[in-house]
Amino acid sequence: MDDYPVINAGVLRLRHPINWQPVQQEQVDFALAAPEAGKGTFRANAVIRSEATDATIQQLSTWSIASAMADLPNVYMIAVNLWPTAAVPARSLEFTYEAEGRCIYVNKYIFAVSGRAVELTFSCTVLQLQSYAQLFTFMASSVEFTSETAGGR
Amino acid sequence: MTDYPPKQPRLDEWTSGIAQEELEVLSGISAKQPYTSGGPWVDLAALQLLFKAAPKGKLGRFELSGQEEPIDRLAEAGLMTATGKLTREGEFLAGPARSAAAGVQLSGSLGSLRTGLQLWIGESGALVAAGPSYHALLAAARRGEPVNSQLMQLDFVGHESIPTAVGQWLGLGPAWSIAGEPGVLPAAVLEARIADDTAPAPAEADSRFLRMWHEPWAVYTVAMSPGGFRAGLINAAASGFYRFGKVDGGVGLTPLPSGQLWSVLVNEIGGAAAGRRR
Repeated sequence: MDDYPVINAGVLRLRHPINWQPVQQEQVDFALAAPEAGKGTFRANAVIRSEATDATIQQLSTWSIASAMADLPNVYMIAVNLWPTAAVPARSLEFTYEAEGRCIYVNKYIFAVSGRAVELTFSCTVLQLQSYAQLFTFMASSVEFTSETAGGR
Repeated sequence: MTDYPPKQPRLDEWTSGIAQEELEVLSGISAKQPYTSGGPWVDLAALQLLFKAAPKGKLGRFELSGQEEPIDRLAEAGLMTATGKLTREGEFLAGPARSAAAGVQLSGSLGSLRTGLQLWIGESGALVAAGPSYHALLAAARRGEPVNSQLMQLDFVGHESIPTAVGQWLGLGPAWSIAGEPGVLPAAVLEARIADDTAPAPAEADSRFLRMWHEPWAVYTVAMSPGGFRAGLINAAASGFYRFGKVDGGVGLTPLPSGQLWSVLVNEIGGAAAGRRR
């Protein structure tokens, strides 16, 4: 696992490829991105956001779907799944959207963690997905909550 | 991540009971994202003529004779001049056909309605010829109207957008996927249900199986080349997708969760396109 060190990303810890680097983004808790691979190549990335809320996982999931469909261009919602790997109520969303001539695939994990909503969002292009699908699942499976208590919803 | 709706969303009561946990309703999402295209509609004869014109950008003298009707249709669609020369839009759409060595072919039905989707994947992207999509079939079936399965809507789709276009055309979207019993049934029983939605379910069917059985079914066969991928798919509306195929003792009928079908589209189309590039 030396190639996949654990990083402390605020509300959660997760493993990531050793060559992924933290990047600065506004309005997020933490963001990691794959190495630069030349001009025009989309950098696959993982973004973590969290917020205090009493919303249930059903509310968070429904809201997340609705806001993606309202806010992103040409959204195509593919799947919503339970994410029983997490120790707290969770969902995994998959969708694509189109921006700047690219079709971007998004795999968003939503967790209801004792009074907080936590989102872990992976993005890559659809053509990159074959290379990243297993990595995204592995990284999501490695999530541990740093301030986790027993009372998720 | 603000402004959460104060109310609990509507729950899928039946599925929540099966899953033993509260699950939000997903069944309305797919209808909000139907396959859409602004491309021209043509019939098979016109499409074949477009392919003939693709290599040189125009029809040869001998290819013109006796083709007045399809040329007229292509001219009406803005793809060809009356003298058999491809217009700029015609050149653009026919582009993938010149280099295509990978293809995706789907045929489908919903009750008595028939449809099909074909993609030719070339270097620049894919030429799509789409018959009525899942949501178009469903709307026609609800109104008791026919669809014109002889017409196809042409469009150009970039490589990255191919799985999305196919998924939207199939009506793939979020659904809670639930396995029922039996998972294997006699071929004649499945064929009867495909032909007639009032056909009886197997006597041993459990409530999970019956829920899927009584949804409207759109039935598809998918073929991709190169690679030889083949699959039989059923879009069972709120019950999601099922895959069917021959197994020992009959036909296997297994749930195919939406994310898994998406992976199949990405991997198999990506594989077919990669095979083209080799």
